[in-house]
Parts: sequence; C-alpha cells; structure tokens
Amino acid sequence: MGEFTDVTPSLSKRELGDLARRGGRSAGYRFAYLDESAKRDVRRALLKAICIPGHQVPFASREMPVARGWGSGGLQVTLATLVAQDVVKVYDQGDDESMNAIAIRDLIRRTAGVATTTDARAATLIQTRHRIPEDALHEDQVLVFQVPIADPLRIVDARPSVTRRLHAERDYAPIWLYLYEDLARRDRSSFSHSHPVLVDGSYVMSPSPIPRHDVPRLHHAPFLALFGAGREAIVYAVPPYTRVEPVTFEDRPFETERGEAACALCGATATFLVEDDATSEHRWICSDVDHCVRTRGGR
Amino acid sequence: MAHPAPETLHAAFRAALLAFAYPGRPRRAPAEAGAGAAERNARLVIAAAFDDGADPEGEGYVFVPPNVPPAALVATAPRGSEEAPQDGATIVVAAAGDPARTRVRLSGPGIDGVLETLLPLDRDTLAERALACCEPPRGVDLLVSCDDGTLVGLPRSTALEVVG
Amino acid sequence: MGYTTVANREAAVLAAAELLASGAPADGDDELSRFVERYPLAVDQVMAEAGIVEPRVCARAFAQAQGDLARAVSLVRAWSAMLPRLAHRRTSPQDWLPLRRITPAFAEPSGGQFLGASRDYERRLLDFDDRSAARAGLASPRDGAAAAPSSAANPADGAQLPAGLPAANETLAAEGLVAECERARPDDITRATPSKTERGPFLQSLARAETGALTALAYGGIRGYGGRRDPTLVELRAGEILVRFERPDTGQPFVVGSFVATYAEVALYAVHESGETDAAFTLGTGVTPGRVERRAIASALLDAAAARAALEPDGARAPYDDREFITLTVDGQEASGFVEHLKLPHHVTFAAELERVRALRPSPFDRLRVTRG
Repeated sequence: MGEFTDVTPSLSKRELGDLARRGGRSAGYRFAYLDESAKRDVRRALLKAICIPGHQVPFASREMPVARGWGSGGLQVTLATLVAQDVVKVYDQGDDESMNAIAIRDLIRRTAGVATTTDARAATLIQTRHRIPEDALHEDQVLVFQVPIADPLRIVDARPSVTRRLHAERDYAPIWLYLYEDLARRDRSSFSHSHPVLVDGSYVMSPSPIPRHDVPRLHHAPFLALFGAGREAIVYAVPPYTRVEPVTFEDRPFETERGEAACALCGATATFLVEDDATSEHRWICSDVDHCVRTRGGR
Repeated sequence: MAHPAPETLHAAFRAALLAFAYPGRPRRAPAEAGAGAAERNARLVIAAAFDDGADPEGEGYVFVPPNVPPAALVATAPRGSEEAPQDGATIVVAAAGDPARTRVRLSGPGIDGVLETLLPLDRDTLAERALACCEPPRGVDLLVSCDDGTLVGLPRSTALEVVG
Repeated sequence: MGYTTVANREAAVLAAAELLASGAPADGDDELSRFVERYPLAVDQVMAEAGIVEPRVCARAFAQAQGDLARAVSLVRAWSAMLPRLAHRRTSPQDWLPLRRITPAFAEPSGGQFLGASRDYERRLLDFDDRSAARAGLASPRDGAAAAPSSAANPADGAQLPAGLPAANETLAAEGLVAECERARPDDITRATPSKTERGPFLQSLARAETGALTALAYGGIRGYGGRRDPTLVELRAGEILVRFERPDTGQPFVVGSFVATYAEVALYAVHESGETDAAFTLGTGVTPGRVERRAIASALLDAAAARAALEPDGARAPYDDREFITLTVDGQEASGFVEHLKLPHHVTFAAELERVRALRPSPFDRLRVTRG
C-alpha cells in the first residue's frame, strides 16, 4: 500500500509573511504574471540550457492561462526572461495578428508593461511559433521558440525513458537509419519542418517546427535562441555563434523548400512562401506578413 | 534590507543569461559600479534564479563570497551526470575589489571566432575548472561578478587557453 | 544582505489557514453554493482533475466554461498554479471519518461494511418528474450516512458509522499473501521534475488525471490489453479528511479545514508463468478528492497493473501496464490542449510537408519508366 513519509513545509518564512500582510489575497497581476518560484524554476533550467547547447533540460512547467500545446512553454520562458525595457514581438507562423499571438502578446503587455512591436528589427525579445523572422537579426536579440515536441528522437521511439538514454550516450544511429531508409526508398529525405540538427557537434535537437528554409539561420547566429515546451516540461537553448548543422549525409546536401515562385504581393524571391487561394488565381505570398508589408512599403 | 523589486531580479537574470550566451564579454548588471557591487549583483542573480534568501530552497549553485579563492569551491562543486549534465553547479563568484586576472583565449558557443580577454579569475581556479569540465557534457558553469557592476560568464562549453 | 522575516508568526499561520478556506462560506446562499449543492459530482470531478479542493472556485469555473469540463479545469489549474504551497501532510485512509466503506473482496470484514450515500443500486431510468429534480443530488457528505452491515441492499436509517475502520487488507498482509511493492515518495509533480516511472509521481499523476482517460485505460487493461490478470476490489472507502496544522510557537494542533476523498484498493490475482515468484496478490491503491468513485477504482487498477508488471522478470510492458505511457496520456490538460492545438494556424508547417509530398512522388523508379515509355 502506498504510504507517505513526512515532508517538511515548503513555504518560506518570507513568503508566509507576505501572505499574512496581504491577508491571503493578491491584488491584480504580479509583474510578468508568474510567481517567483515559477520564475526561478524556468530560469534555473535556462541557465543550464544555455551552457549545454541543444540539451533538453526538464523544468517544473506551470499551468498557464494559455492551454498546454498553445505556447505555455514559450510564454513561461518569455515571462521569466523579459526585462521592463524590452520591446516584444509575438507572432505565429509568420503572422502577428493570429488570435493566439494576440492573446499571448496581450498577456505579456498587461502583466509586464513592456512595449510591443511587429517589426523584428526593433524587437529585443521575439516569441515565435514556427518561424524565424526574415529580417537580419543582431546580437543581444532573444528569440523564444514555441515547441510542441521537444525530442527529435520521438519519431524513432515514443518513450522518453529510452530517448533520454540515447541522448546521454549520443547514440543517434536510429535517426541516421531513418534518414537512410528515406534515401534508399525515395532518393530524398522526408524530413519537412522540424528538421533534426546537430548542435555544437554534440546533441541532436529539434529546431521546433520551423521550415527547412529557416534552419540555416540558426547556424552561427548573432542572436540567442531559447526553446520552450510547456506541455513536455522541457527547455533547451542554442547560444549565439554556435554550430547548428542539419542531420544529413555528406553526399546529400541539405535542401530548403526553395521553388521558383516569387511573392505575389512584394516580389520577394528569398522568403518562405505559402499558397494563397483566396482569390481566383493561385498564388504564393510571404508567410512573414510584417516583412512583406514593409518590403511593399519600401522600408 | 528590503526584498529586491521584481524588475531588478528580471534584469539580473537577463544579465546572467547574456553573460553565458556571450562568454568572456562583461554584461551590465543592476547594481551600480562601486564597492560592494560584486556581491550585490551576485546575490541578485542567486535570488532571481536559485534561492529565496530567507530559507534556502535552491540547489545547483555555489556562492563564492568576496575575498574567498574560488578554486577549492570549484573543485568540489557537483558536475552532473551523463544523463543529467544540468545537475552540474552554477558557481557565482563575487570577485570584489581588484581580483586576480588571467589572460585567456576563448572559443566555442557564444564566441565569434576567438576572443582574447582578461578574465577576473586566477589560474588555480581555471585549472580546477578545466578538471571539472574535462568530461563533457558534465561540468560546472562560472559567473563572475565584479565591482564595476558587470557579470562575466564562463560556461562549461567554452574552450579556454591560458595565454602567456 | 537580508530579507524581511515574519513579524507576527501567529498572524501568518492564521492567514494561511484562511487561504485554505474559500473566499466565502461553503454553505452560503448564493448561486455558486446552490450549484455545488445540486451538482456535487461535477464539482468533484473538476476539483479532482484540477488537483485542488475548492468547490466554489470550481463551480465558478464550470459556469465560466459553459459546462466544458476540460476548460473549467484549465481555469482552476491556471489560478491554483500561482498559489504558494504551504505544507505537506500525511494521512491514512484508516484515520478518515468514514462516510462509506464497502469490501467486495470480503463478506464480513473487520469493522463491517457501510453502504453510505450511493446511487449504485438505483435503476438507471430517466425521471421526468420535475418535483424530483428539486430533490436531486446526493445527500451532502455531512448528512448522516447509512449503515448496512454485510448486505449492501437498502440503507437503514439513522445508524452511525464508527469513528474509524481498519484496513480490509490486514488479513492478507498478516498471512504474507501480498507481494512486496515499491514504496511511493510524495514528490509534488507540479513543483519538481521527478521520474514518471517511479510510483510516487505515478500515483500523483493518477490523482490529477482526466476521468475518462483513467477509465478507458483501466478498462483496456482488464480487457486483456495488459497482462492477463483478474482484479478484485478489496475496499472502497469514502471519508472526511481533517487537515491539521501545528502552531509554530506552542506546537498545539488545530484543524484548518476538511474535505472528502475516496480511496480504493484493488488486489490483482496472477500467478507468474515462470513460476519463479510465490503466488501472491499485488495490491494497487487509488485516491481521488471528492466522490467520483470510478477515478479511485481506475487509479487502483492502473497502480496494481503497473506494480505487477514491475515484478515481471523481463521488463517488457504493455502500454496499459506502463507507468511512463500512462502518465504521458492521462493528464487532461496536456491531452486536450495538444489535441485542440491543431486548430491553431498550421499553414507554414503544412506548406513544408506539402513540399515534401510533392517532391517525393513519383518515385525514381516511376520516373525511369516514364522516360522509357
């Protein structure tokens, strides 16, 4: 039968004192929403993640006003990492005006009082779902990626107990085998978004479901990349100027999705395009909406 | 003394994060330059990420107070395991006054090419660090706080060569 | 550098006690209280899945979510995530003030059986009489529960339950018929990151799990998708738990509040095919806040099955016996959040996949055929 041994109380005297002074009630939101123990849990994990590039670090992920699977991890990373002077951009598959991006940005603004922007060049902290901004980014910018599935080895085994061991031993044979079978059968890799990458020659990592177009942007980047998976309770990080190499055989160079089309709205040929069937003609348009708008406006 | 404002703790954490993101390059931390700044900023980082202060709840960090040589504490700090390298300690050094410095060449994640700089750590400490980090990904991560109000980070991922 | 300490410890503890109680008296006259009174089991389910005993808060969440249980649980969990953890306390089901206790495994257990307030034996016929709707709802837990020694047929009137009842498994344990199982450590899985394959975190996951998920997995296991085994309910017990605190200055105990919980214990009968281990029962336990009994029974089934599988020599696990698989599957918030996240924009990721599908057909072999033809 499951019996319980006694455990000492976990509330500090200072926190208890604060409670007593407030009469047990909290007035409005805390700065950046999370309570201090939640912030400490995320921050502790992030400090380790940045020192061990590509390694998945568990953290005690909190339930957020945003559902699991909807960016709760990215949000915890953003809230714990931001400073009052930040200019924050939040966008979703390239779109700043998606309902979820708006909801997340709104929560951040209301609880931290930070300025917000849609312009990636002006942002100091960018929370993104599955895209890297098309703009050239610079040092000190922090990119926070929302991650649905943290482990690139999930495609070879569903059990974290097994994949943890594979990562510990840096035994990535299963994923090489997966790629090999693709090439043998189809002459092409079937990796689409979430292309597995080797970080600092050590851990294989999922770059989150960004398209292959965005993967080279992570290699030796001037910015800092933080990855938050709230549902899976994992964070990981890629420091600036770090090797990030797509997993691919030497004689099969990594390919992006590049086609021949140009954006029907701004004419760009080097951005990631998505199909637009809203009008009578089938056309391709930039996924990065703000970049596209600025290109059209000549900015 | 009053508990620091949340905005200050956020700033302290951001400085620590960027210190590790760009190793060897000093980052401005909340407490202004002057006597005692090294310790103040060190304790802010600890309060932000590890420890409530009144009752220790945090593990995973080692605090090196001013005027204590870090080497011995680096030698005994936990290094983590193969499966949990994150259990390796974050060593926060309050390098007050005019600490011993070593000229080094740094490379690795966070560094564009090679960075030659004067780190506020003595050779013994760097030797202990090399030993602690000799089985990657296990290791320790050092954060040095100085009286000029800056933090300098030395993660285990940084390759370090003592110059001269 | 120091931090503020508690100036008045007495006030602090009393404030903490106040925090544990809801914002308003539990039996108030307002709409939330009426909801709790009319639909206590819906409230119990929200409380159990949210992992916090706050009937009025859960009623409020249920209304705000327009009856969507998963959404109601989201609201309560997000609210409770930012509440400080005050202390842990140990409790044994034998110490609970009994409200109901049945032992299907034993006809005449020590202490007796008490049917309590239960709808188990009512006919499941919809009642269209509007007057009965007003009387609907289980008798409140504090109402006199009924005593029915041995025969669980009709509740008798007025009989009082004893102050405590011994565990029904005592005879089994005394005879050495119970397999030795892993002890459970009480890690708080919302504040730490323990291994999901250890028994303590597993039990806590089950206590907070989505009710349908628990039921479905337990059912699959009994149906044989786990190892072949036959479960018997040793004991099902509902009782009131008094939460006690000690004053930090005098050490004098006082009660800060109470809540009702349900506990189930299941015995699995299985003889190992290898014949290496002695024939023994494996006991599993399940607990839930509130009175949704299938939560406790399903949890006990899953605990027993996983514990039994852990004793098997070769270590292979059917998913229904696998603590890792179960904990990753049963959290209602993780499951519903991720299933519903598919409603978010996916045009970029889908474009990336479309590109691959187009690139990967036809196969090189087909291309070869086309050129020749």
